[in-house]
Amino acid sequence: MRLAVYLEKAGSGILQDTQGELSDEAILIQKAKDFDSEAWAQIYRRHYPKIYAYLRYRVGDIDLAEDITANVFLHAVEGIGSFTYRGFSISAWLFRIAHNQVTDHLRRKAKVAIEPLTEELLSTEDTGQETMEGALVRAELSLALKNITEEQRQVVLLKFFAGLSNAEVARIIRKPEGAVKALQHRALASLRQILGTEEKNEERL
Amino acid sequence: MKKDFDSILDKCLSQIKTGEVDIESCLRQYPEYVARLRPLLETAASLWQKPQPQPRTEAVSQGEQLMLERVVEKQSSKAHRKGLVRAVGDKIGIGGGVPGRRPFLSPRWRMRWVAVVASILALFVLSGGVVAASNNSMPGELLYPVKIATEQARLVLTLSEEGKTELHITFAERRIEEIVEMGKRGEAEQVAKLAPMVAQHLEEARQVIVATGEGKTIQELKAKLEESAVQQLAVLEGAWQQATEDTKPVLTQALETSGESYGTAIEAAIVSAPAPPLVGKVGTIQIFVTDPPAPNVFAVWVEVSKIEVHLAAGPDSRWISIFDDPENPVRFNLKEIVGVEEFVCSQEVDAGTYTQLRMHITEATIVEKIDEDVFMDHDAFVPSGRLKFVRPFTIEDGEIKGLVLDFDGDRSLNVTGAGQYMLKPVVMLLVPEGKGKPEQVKFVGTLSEEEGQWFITVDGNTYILDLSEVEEVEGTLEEGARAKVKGVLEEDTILATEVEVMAAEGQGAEGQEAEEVKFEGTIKTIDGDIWTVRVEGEIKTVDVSEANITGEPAAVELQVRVEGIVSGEIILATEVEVIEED
Repeated sequence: MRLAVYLEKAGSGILQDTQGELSDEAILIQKAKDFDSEAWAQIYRRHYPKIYAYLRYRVGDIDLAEDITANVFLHAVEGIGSFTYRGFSISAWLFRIAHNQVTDHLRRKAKVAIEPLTEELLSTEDTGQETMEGALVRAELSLALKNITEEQRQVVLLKFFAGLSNAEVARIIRKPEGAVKALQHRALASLRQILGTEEKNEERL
Repeated sequence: MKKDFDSILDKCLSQIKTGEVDIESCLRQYPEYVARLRPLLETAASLWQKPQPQPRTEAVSQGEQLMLERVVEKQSSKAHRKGLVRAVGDKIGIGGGVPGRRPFLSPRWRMRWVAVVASILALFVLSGGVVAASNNSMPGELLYPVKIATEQARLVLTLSEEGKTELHITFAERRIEEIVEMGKRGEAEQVAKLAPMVAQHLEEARQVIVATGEGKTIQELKAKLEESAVQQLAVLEGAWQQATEDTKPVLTQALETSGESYGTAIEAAIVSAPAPPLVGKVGTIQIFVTDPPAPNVFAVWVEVSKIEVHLAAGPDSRWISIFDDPENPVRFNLKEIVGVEEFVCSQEVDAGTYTQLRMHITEATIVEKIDEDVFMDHDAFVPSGRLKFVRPFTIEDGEIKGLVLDFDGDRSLNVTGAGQYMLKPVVMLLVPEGKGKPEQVKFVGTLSEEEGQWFITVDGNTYILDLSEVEEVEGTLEEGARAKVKGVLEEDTILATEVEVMAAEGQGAEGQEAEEVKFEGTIKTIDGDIWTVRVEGEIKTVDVSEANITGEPAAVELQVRVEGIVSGEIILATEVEVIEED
């Protein structure tokens, strides 16, 4: 609690700070607000892979996904001053930046969608380490994601890949939590139909 | 009920995810939903197990470096809050731009920027696609920072000074393209941000030109600059003319800034590498005025006593008068020229590069319509009668170029608190492409008159004869008389510069076609421009005043080849070649 008081006095906007885990993040955020390079490096390494994965599924193109991911962190550095903790994790905040950027991008370049990405996702060149099997799985998933609605896709990516809470997803996609749950249900049902058909057939046999 | 199921599904998912329970134990909690829950939970579980796309390590580290550079910048800016970092944000305009005013970097930040750029470049070498894609991006778009960063990187990596200059010219052109696009989209703020960037690129180009001094490359750069100026300024003018109320002020600023920047850069290039003198090569400048539609006032009379253009020719640079007559100033009504271009004056000038135009407005009168037939004149106060435009254009040998002074009557006219009118001319100098290429003509025809307007019939076509530019008509204008006219043909009007009336012809002359002739003979007499030539025993009178004379110096008894047109008893020669007799 002393820490929380201190931070509040420092004007960080952190009001509640009861759990140890949150305290760590609160400290990290405070350091980030002071433009501490180490804190930022830590944030970057912790969140880059998931942000990248999310963007990769959203935009498909490897270069574009990397570019937007880099931009997300530049934006975060610019905007950290306005970030207030209030139960919204830094992860959720970064995803919101990513979501906004990609929405903006898709709006401007209306034709850049998930469509051209299947082949890209099949590519194993990007890591040089990934197996062809892994690439195929991703390609299959990418195709499946293509066939669900944009909102459902966002919920799936943010919940199952980014690991965000319903409340965080709700804030990012600007919908009530109930709607997130409903979207999650519909998304899983649709994906089941697309992905699970073969599996189900096998079970029946 | 559905909502309940959504919550149950969500609860199960949370429990399974945190490892509290597995699918089976979760299903046991809700036996009534097993059939519905199982496939969904299994799908969710399979999603959690899906391998995630892995980023490329080089992209990760480059991104981190880029971010940490930004962190360091932000940290330094904390020390001097209103420092330079914001400029970096502005410059690369991340994701829609960070508000701020300084568009360019200070040297210190430029150095730091170089390091960032070099690393970005390394990244982009690996992903050329993004760079290529970014080339078409516009301010505020996601890839725009990439575009700018790539440009910076190209500047850093280009070692030769002329290479850098060329890049600066190219990038200035890109900013202008962006200005035009932003103008179309109505994004005035972006236009305002881009204009200084055009100026900055051209200023950098100018500085290199000044530092490099003479040489062949300067000539090439000058040519490139001139070409760029002509094209880009024309494009900007197009955008300016189509601007909305919101974007007009910023596009005006952009056009003026760009014009000035090009002008000063070109002048620097000309000073560094004066072009060879264009002896005897002349073109013509025509001045037009126009005014976009505006309501309110009935008439706005403006008087211009002097118009000059600046020839940029190194040591020979000078102002050349297009019009200078304080006693009889050009007078035009801004309300009458709404949407049309009224011809003001025309003047033959040396061919070359011009960079500026200035004019002197001596008087302005506002005519207010008070009632149906009641008008009141007001003398408008002209606070600054001298207007100067920096706007490069070139005049080729023989070219006729039209310049349009576009008055914004509405914005020019202000009513002061005391109810007095004040004319603060808001004028844009336009050099429309394709304008002023009317045909220069010289021919003989038959005069006719109708309600004070003279016409001339040539080859069966009747043209309006505009005599306003003719200083003195040689001879007397007479119905049915043959006249020799030199001037500019524009649609159905001949804007004459010289008119010479020849002896009135009798009946049947009207509509007579000018006959072209070509012959060879011996010069018998020379009396100034009037020669006699004997051709197969017949003596022909030849007027060589307008002819292009080549070959030997003319002398009696020399052979001569003549091309021209028959005009009554005289042959008006166009080509004369004097040949030494065998």
